[in-house]
Amino acid sequence: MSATGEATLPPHPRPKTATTPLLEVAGLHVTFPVGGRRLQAVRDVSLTINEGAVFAIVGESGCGKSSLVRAICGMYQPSAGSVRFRGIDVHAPGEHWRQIRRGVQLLFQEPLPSLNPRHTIRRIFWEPMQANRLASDMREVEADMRAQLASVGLGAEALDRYPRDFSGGQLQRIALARILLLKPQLICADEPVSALDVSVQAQVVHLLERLRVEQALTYLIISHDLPLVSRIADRVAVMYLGEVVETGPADVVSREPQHPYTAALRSATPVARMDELQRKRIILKGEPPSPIDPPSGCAFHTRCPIARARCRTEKPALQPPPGGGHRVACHFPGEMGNA
Amino acid sequence: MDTATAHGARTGVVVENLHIAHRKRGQLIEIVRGVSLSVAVGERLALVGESGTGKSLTARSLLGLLPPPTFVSAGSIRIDGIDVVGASDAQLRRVRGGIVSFIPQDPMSALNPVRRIGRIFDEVLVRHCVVSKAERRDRIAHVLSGVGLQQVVLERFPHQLSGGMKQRVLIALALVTEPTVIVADEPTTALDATVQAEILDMLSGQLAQKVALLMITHDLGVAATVCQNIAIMYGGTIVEYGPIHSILGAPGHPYTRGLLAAAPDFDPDRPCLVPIAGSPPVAGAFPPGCAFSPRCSSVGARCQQEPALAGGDHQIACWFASRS
Amino acid sequence: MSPVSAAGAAGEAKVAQAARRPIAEWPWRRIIIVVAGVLTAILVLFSVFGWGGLDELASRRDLSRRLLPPGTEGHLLGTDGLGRDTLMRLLVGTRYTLIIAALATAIAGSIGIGLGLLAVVGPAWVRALVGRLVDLTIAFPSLVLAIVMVGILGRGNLTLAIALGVFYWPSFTRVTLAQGRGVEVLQYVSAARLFGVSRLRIILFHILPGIAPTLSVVTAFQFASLLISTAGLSFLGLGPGLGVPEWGSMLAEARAEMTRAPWLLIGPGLAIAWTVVLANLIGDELAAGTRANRRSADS
Repeated sequence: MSATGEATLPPHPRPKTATTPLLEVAGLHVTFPVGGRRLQAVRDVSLTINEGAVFAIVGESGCGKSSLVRAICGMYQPSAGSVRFRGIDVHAPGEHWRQIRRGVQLLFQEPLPSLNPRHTIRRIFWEPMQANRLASDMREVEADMRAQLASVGLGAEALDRYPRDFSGGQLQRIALARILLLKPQLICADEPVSALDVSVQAQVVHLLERLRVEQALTYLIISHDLPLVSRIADRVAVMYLGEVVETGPADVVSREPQHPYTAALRSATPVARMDELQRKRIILKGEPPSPIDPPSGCAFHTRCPIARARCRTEKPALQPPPGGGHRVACHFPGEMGNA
Repeated sequence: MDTATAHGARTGVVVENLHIAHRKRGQLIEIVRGVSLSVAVGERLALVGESGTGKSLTARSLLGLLPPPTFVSAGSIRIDGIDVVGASDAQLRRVRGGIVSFIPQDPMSALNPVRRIGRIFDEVLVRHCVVSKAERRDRIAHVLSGVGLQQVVLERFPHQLSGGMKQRVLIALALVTEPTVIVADEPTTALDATVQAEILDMLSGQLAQKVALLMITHDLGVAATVCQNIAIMYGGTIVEYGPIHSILGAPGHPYTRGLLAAAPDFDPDRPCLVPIAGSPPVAGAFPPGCAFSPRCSSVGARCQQEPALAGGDHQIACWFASRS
Repeated sequence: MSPVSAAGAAGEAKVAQAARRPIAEWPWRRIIIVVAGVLTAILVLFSVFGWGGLDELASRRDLSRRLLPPGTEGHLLGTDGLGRDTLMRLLVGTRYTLIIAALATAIAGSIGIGLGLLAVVGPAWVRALVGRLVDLTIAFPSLVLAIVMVGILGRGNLTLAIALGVFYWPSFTRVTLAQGRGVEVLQYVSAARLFGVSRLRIILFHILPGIAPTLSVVTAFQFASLLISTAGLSFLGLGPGLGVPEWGSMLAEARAEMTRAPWLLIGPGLAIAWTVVLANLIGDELAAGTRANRRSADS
């Protein structure tokens, strides 16, 4: 039942299959009422994800990445802006979205709590299929279940077991198989490997990559792990306090960050290598401000080592720096870059 | 007894051939199988391993705080010459929080929510016989400035502090009794990367110079950032033990090599995210012989027997380790 | 509850374990409670469905053999003021006391759990409404309300059960709401909702099984307290009626003869006490089982 080791990822596995936009997010705002005030979880986020791509959203807790993804999956209603999946507005009421909502699926960070401990794997698989009327009888889809289990590297005997009988890595495979049975086009994965052991993380990463190719999937991955993102994603958007502060090709953004926050994040990530250890670290002071009362001007100015007077008053736009390159929301891009 | 006598001989911690087990249906199930390590004052050692390797139990045994069904079935733990394994409850209470301090993983639930921070500090100090109010104030002020906190936090309740500030309060609490040994169990796992960087910076800096720090972590990067020495645990034993630069530079055990290759890395020219097949073993079902052998890419006949940790400064428990 | 296969395996393991353990370490408390519970259940079933001659025996009067003390030949627990056999009357009484209490528990449980579940999955205003309804019901002494209701509707077995049931539901609602909200925020419920699983299915297959262990504990305790209320109201003359051997009315009849035959109080008194204690002990054991399950699920 153990997963077989899969081939090593090539350094840049970036087969650009298509450039059709699968998901378009435009000017999205998500706010929650908190004791009479408004918590602005997502503030004016726009992004486009092409078919077959791996798009990553990076940020720390409270940056709004989870709210953004939940709004994309239709769990939260945006207060402004729109999310279009294959051109159809996700939040517009009507039959249209019901027909395609199956196409967007969410993979939870921790597999165990997302699976009912009292149900067998077969029942866990069957429930969403039944809810989406993919079949009228469980026996019709038995073969599909077995095939999908095999595709995630598990045997058919798993169907009659309970979630407690599996290890963390196996459970994440099961959670993935449950989603894949619905034949989605876009999988939103919330920290898909961070709850797993290091030696198992790589297995799941390889599995995700293989499934993406085999089953023509597109991924939106939320992560706090910049080195991981730099290796598995095509494009990345770095979020801070509900806003995208930098976005571009994943390897470029993580290797040559232009925004001081991205640079600090990159520097803060401990990597077990001697040359990385000898780097001078950027230590940010304090912690992110409250999203109920975001700072004026650039939201990062309260912690930014290179903030000047202008940053306190004037909000920088998300645009390519004068010298060209990927988009960044900073008045002084690249100044703290590759310290 | 006051803390001064306990500090008479600050030698740090020496663990020898530690076995931790629990009984299940009359059978003894070993979770930790012969761990030996020592941390001197001024030294920082990281115990690195995946879930279920017994690293947390090893750390808790230093405080005499093993969760009930588990117990030390063999071996010895000496802290400043005091035998923790055979200690009475009264002795243990003095050791705990006196000679040994603990920094927990989850700062959110580690502080009593209905007590002000100042009161929590006072309680700890009074329990360790610091009765003079002036001395308490001095000591608290000293450790607070050490972790970069203002005096005003003493007036606050835990819920008024952020996660990072709480973790600093816990570090200050661990330092305030002037212990010999600090055990930190995944002290930054619950924190964000930028906050983690701050705490790691603090743990690797001046603060921990006068104590022996034993840090438990699953993250080799965190271990390498803070500690001089690393012990890699797998299947209840230490499989590799040595100075950080030596282990990162020339990892000897296939598991260590696997861990390093499995972690993601910024450098596009380096192989990374190479999976280790299978999953970590669980206590009670450790494979016979070398516990890593079922997942190892280069096994031989000798791996049916358990290899011992051998070597000088840099010890490796593998039959095929190239030892020079 | 755990699925059949797993429960079976666990049961076998437990048996194997018990066989090896010394007798002193056996879970005697649990064994005694189970044995007592099973014996009582058999007695109840016997008196409800069993032998038809029981009624005849219980209602047979013999004025020449009245107020006999316990132990008299042919009358193990003696006879009452009309010469009826106390033991037989007690046995027939289970039919009234236990059944009325069980029916009242069922009514209270259905109302309480139903409203609770509605509040768990419903919108905020439903939750608020149910909350106020609970407060309102608790604010009045339920026993007094039940007396008023019986007074209005007239006496009778069913009336008594309904009168008690409709005022004793709030604790079911409270537990369902508190526990159900706990289950409802679990990730597997959000996952199900995200997959488009209907509310009814979420309640039936996720929330209800999740809170069933706790509800069974509440049911046991509520049954005990409703049993006392049933007997209490009958004692006051609001029960099934005169001459019916309900335990509470037996007590009332015995009170009239208290000076001449004080032992008449013992039979129904002990019957009520025994059943209430048993129900409470079963509740305690269920609660302990629930805690143990939760612990093993956590580890």
